[in-house]
Amino acid sequence: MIPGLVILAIAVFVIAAVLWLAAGRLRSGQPRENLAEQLQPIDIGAFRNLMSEPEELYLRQHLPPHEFRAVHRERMLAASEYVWGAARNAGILIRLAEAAKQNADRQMVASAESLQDNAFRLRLYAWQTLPRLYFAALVPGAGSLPQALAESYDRLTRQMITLKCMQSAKL
Amino acid sequence: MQLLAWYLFIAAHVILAACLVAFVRRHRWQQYPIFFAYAVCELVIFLVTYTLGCLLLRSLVSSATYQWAVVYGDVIRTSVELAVLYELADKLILSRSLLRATLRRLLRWSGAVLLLIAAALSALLAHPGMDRALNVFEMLNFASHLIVVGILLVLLLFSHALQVPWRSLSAGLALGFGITSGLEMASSALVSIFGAKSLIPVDVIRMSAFLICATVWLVYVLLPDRSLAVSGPRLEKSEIEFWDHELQRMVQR
Repeated sequence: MIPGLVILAIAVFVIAAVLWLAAGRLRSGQPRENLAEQLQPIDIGAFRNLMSEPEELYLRQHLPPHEFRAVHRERMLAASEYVWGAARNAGILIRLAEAAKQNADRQMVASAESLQDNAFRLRLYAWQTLPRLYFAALVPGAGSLPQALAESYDRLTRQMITLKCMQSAKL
Repeated sequence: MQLLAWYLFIAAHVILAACLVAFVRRHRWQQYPIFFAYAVCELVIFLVTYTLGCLLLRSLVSSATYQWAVVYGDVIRTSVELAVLYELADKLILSRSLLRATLRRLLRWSGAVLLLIAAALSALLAHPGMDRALNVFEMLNFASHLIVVGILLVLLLFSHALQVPWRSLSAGLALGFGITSGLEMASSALVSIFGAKSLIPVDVIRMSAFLICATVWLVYVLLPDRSLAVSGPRLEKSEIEFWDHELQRMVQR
């Protein structure tokens, strides 16, 4: 009886999840008002500061451990907000590029496809980065961020510059 | 109640046949050949089980023959359903070289994990008071639909996370499979809870689910396939090239 009820509950949850996600994919094909205007500005200077290793080292040396942990957690959570913003902007770019792919001009289509691929890459990258940021926020005293991760942040930062520029270009 | 189940069983397949006709007339079958094969296969299974059902009522075949035919039909149906999901994944994501490797890995792992979960959970559904063939059917049916709905969920989550745009027909096909597989899972759970006495009401739920599913497919086959349209300021060609160049420079590893 109990396993059956548990399975029934799981099935109901799965049906709801599939319906919600499939409806979302259906909506993704619908025309949207001023999609380009939904691109959000990202303060690159602030993000660079949050991810700066020298800055982290400075804080580690000048703050008591408990205070450093609290500050580091806040910094990582703030950085994750920027990454969310970049992922959101990449999602908008994917949809703009998809619309541009309907154009009759072949060159335009090729450019749009290329732009879409790079926006996919950025979004994939953002999804890989977010769990690491949250882990860093949960375990603030676990040492500095790995070098590879810091490099990744740097690449993300530069991608964000693009997105910020894009917004100022009044797309 | 049994009459209602039969009515729904026939009505759902009539709608599926209409869907197949619309699919051929609108040349959609060339875009989704595996789904086309699935619809044909489903109709053949329906004709076989319907004929066997009629023969069973006249006592010309044994109930075991009918039940095992339903079990084999379920196995064939599930294999083709999985192939349709692969077709959807191929159209939407695997055709994009960048995402192919990630999704392939994800699907492989999800398939393995779902198989393990299905094997473990379906063992819990066995009901001692039921025939062997019915027990096998319920366990197999639950396991196969759990795998189908799990793969579908992975596909939808991946697309949602990466904002992969879906054409409306693809989303409609996924929606149909989601409805029918989810309700089939729930039905197997209900049979496990209430036993053999619930078989006929559960059949009504199953057939209603397939009726809804076939109707959803028919609607999306008849609707023109929407492509993404954006109002307001769009990207100009020069802007696209500029931003693409910038993005390409920045995401190089």
